[in-house]
Amino acid sequence: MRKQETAFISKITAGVTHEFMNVLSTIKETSGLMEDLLALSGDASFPHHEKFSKTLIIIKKQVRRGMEISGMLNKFAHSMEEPEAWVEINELLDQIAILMQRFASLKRVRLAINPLESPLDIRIDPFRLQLILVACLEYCFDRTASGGVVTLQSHKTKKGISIQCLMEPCSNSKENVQELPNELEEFQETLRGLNAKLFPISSPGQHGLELILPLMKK
Amino acid sequence: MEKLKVLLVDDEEEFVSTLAERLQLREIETIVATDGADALRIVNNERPPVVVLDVMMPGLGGLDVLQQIKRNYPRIQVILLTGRGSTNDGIKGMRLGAFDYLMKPVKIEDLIQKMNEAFQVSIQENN
Repeated sequence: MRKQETAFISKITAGVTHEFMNVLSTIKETSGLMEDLLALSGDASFPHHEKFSKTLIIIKKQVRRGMEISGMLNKFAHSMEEPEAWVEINELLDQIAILMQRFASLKRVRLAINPLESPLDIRIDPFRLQLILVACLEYCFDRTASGGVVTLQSHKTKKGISIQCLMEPCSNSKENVQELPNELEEFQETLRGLNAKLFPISSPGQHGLELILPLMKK
Repeated sequence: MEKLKVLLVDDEEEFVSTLAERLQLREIETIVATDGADALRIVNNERPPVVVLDVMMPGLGGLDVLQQIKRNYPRIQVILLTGRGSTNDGIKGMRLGAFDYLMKPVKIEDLIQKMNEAFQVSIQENN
């Protein structure tokens, strides 16, 4: 995507998610005030006390959910601002998991994260990295049997940082894939931009994709 | 003995007035401003020891307000409220003399704790 176009998407998305956060913050504070007032009035003096309390719990839960999604979308938008930035791998995987949860649900698969043991910052183009990871996830969602799990896991290797996208169970586990699937070929330019390599994982009991990123620590 | 009085500054009127009401229920005196210019006027007149300031405001932004407060009244402690993904604003604010920054949404208990800490520093700097 052209620089001007990504900057435009970034600006609009960041602005709108900021507004969403303001709306949700106001709802959160208002429900908090209702909760305070409810706590001040005794059980007996307020009719439907219990029902109100339960309703407030639902409002708070949904506001939290909305804030988590909006917050991640806001971060995603800001990630387009810089062509290169320090990215903490586990934080990024969490962000992708929240944003991709719905796409996983639509394919009736669960998305799980298996993070690095300790936080690790790498210098990379965060937008391109997310673009390729989302492409890998969509590829795996399409090939994971209904009710299965797609796990995004990361570990350090001698070559760099490995991010694996594993399908369990794979809907076509007999297929022995040795080369990068055709539908991912179009991401070669993105991979070159990241100085990364993408490989298929196809061994008995393990199917998926592996992305190897260069390791450049702080 | 000086009592904690907080100026809350945010352009989201319903948010800031509700937050003020919640703090008042906890017996914390609050004043509300919905823009930077109004906030500076209140600071000049009332000198609250603690200011809770939203960074992203139309017109005079939070960081500009912070700079002016610290230049004229260094004893006043300013807590910044930043959006998620705007950590840089918080760091910039710390360099400009903010007491601390908190990311929105903030739990009321965490905000009160931070306000009390800022108040203690303000008292010490006054002595």
